[in-house]
Amino acid sequence: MKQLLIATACLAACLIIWVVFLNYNMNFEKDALNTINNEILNNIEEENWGEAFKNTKKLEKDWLEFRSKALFIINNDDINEIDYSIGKAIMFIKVEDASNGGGELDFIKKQISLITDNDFPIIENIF
Amino acid sequence: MILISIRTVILYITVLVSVRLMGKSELSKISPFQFVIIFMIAELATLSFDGSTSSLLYGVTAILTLLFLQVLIAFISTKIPNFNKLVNGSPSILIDNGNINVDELKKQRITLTNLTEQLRIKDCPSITDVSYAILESNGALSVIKNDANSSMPLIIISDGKLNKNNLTLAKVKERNLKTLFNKLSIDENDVFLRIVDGQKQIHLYVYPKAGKIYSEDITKGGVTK
Repeated sequence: MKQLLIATACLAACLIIWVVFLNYNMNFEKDALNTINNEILNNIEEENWGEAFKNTKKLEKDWLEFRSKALFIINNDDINEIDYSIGKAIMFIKVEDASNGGGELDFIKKQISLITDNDFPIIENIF
Repeated sequence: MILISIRTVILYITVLVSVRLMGKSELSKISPFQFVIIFMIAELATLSFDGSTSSLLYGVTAILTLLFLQVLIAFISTKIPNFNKLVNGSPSILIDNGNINVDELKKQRITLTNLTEQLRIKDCPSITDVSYAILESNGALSVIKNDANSSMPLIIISDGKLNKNNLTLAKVKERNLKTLFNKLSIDENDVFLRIVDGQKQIHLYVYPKAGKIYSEDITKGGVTK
């Protein structure tokens, strides 16, 4: 009985960490997608490059803060992909390249959504 | 480099705790089911060493889930005998009172050559030396040698649960059991283990410590306390 209680407590601790992280992740995803869709992409369309660069830097700062915690939970490959894409997006916006900048931001949106989507307990993810 | 060492230490501790929590039986008499669990834990631990493909927490969660399932199944098995039979299987009697159980040999896919080989390992060069050969649920072969007085010990009550098949085999009536409990002033729910041994002696082990032994010679009907 003691072993069963310890095993249950260990598994419950893992599940609690996962639920807390999922909630944190969903909040980050909402904020990040909002920043990209409503701020950075609009700035690029309006060719307001200074503001676009400032907002992309803000996105990078938010990402780094999230990344420091997510590092314990999500795969390194997924984290690295987003790191590279944010780095590229910053450079494209800096050189005022609208098509590549927009494309890279779209890729970031998809990657950030996938962090939550891939961890959600739905049939598609199980199989 | 140092990351791999740190990950290894964490996974080592997780695997160590898991194996210890699974209990001693995992290492001493391992069943096929437990064998698979141990292999899966080892495999999951090695997958998490390399951080590029999966996070450490994923590996630890998978190991802890296996630990939980194993401990839960072991717990339920002690409470429900049929569930235990389903998970761990039940022993097969290959030689029953000197007779070879051909159907059971076929069912277990054991040839006569294999059986005689195993008997030789158990110090029985001839099948005629053997009274009972039982293939245990963990795959080991138990042998009871021929002896004028020997018969197979039968467990009548195990973990407080009555085994009606063995009760019939031991030719003991259920009402006689109740009479015996009354005679010994024992509540039948307190009986942890009751065995009829090879010398037709009945032994009772009673809760809470299961250490107090009562014996009765069923051939003579006497009771010793």
